[in-house]
Parts: sequence; structure tokens; C-alpha cells
Amino acid sequence: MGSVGLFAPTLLMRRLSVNPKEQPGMAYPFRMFGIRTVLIGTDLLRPDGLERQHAVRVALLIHATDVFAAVIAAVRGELPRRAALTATTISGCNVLLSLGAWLLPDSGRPTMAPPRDHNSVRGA
Amino acid sequence: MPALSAGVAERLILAVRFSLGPLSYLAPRFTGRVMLLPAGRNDAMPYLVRLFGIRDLALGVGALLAPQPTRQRILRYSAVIDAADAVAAVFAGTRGDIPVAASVEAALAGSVGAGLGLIAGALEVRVPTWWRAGFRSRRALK
Repeated sequence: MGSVGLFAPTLLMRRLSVNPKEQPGMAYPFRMFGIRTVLIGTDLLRPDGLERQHAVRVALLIHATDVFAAVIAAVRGELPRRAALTATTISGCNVLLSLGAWLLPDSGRPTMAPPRDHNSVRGA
Repeated sequence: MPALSAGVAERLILAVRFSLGPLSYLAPRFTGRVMLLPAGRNDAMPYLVRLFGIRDLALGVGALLAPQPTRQRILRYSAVIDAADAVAAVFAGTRGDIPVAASVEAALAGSVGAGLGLIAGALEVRVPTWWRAGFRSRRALK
């Protein structure tokens, strides 16, 4: 999605029922959205660890607010109803995927580390 | 001319991320006007500006809270992102998608941002210990 937004924004514009000829200025924010999505997404491809945990949590936040943005766009008539429904559905699916990734073991879910026993002496 | 340190560059980047991001999400039409984008012709512009805004804020949060290797990389991302923004602005201005003034403004802002990202990401950025200690103690309280 990010790559398409960056390199072929007119494709996404048509998916949102935006006519590129009538609203050519839309391509520019699509490209800004695209580069950020691509670079944030690359962190999800990293091996397990703190970096990936952070990326998963950020992804959940982003997709949840995307759903809210799509709903606002629908309510205010910024997007046609059908396009708003598509955007809400896609972002909703992304929320579920992010939630799944967060709940899976060895992902973004914070784990309870065993409490340290400061009184014990190692090797004693 | 005093040299711009990595710490100052990082703070400037974070200031932009934490101001432009929420502003774009909460007041996309106003942000569009600041960026000289013709919102009147583009009904869906506020929606796109919101998507952009939350990602900008996420990058700021990432740079602020992530552990050091990630933090360094996110700051380097800033250079790539802002350079790409500048190229996109020039491209849009050349094609007549956005007004020339908007294109020039965005290209300048993107170029400055890319320069700051290079400075902030190239060198090791140290977070004040009092900040990290405060963050840890707040998490421990929860």
C-alpha cells in the first residue's frame, strides 16, 4: 500500500473514487503517506526483538487511528460512502492483523520478566 | 557560524513531528492551508492529510521512545522521508498538481528536514539520563 501510494498514487486515488484529473493535488499527500508507510513497515520485517516489538505497537496505533480517520471522512462526506467503507474495512483488517501480531508469542506483546532476587548471590 | 549538533537536529525533527503530526490529524484543512494546498478542489484531502499526520506522529514517538539502535535508524528515516517529500513536492509542482508556491514551500521544508535527518542520524544521539529514568519509573508505577 505504501509503495503504491509512493510510486503510483493515481491507482489508490481511483480506489478511493477520487478522479486524478479532477483532483490532481491528491497525489502529493498520497506520496507523503506512502514513504512513511513503507519505512514504518520495514521495521516489521526485522527479526524478533525490541525493534520489532516497537514496530508492532506503532502499527496497531496507526491502523486504529486510520479506522477513525476513515469514519470521520465518511461522516463528513470527504470520501464517497463506498470508498469510505472500503477504507474502513481495509484499516479494520489491518487493526486485526496488528492485534494478532501483538498477541502472538515473541512479538510486540510486553512480557513479564521474572523478578530479580537481589539477595541471592550468584554461584554461592 | 556555530555547528548544528546532532542533539539540536534531533530536537528540531521531533518538534516538527510532534506539532505537524497531531495538527494534520486534528485539523487537516488548516494544515492543508498552511501547506498551501488547495483543499477546495480536493474533497478527500483531509482524509489523506490525517493518514499522513498519524504516520508523522508515529515516527516522532518512535524516535523518542525506541531503544538506541532503532532510535538511530528512525532518525535516519527522517532524512529519507523528507528528501522523498521534497522530490514529491517538486514533481507535483512541475506537473501542475499543486500550486508553484506550495511546491517551493514543501520542497524547501523537505530539504531542510532531510539535512536535519542526516545530521541527527549520522551521529550517536544520547538521551538525557533523567529523561530515561523518569520514563522507566513511570512504567514501573503502572
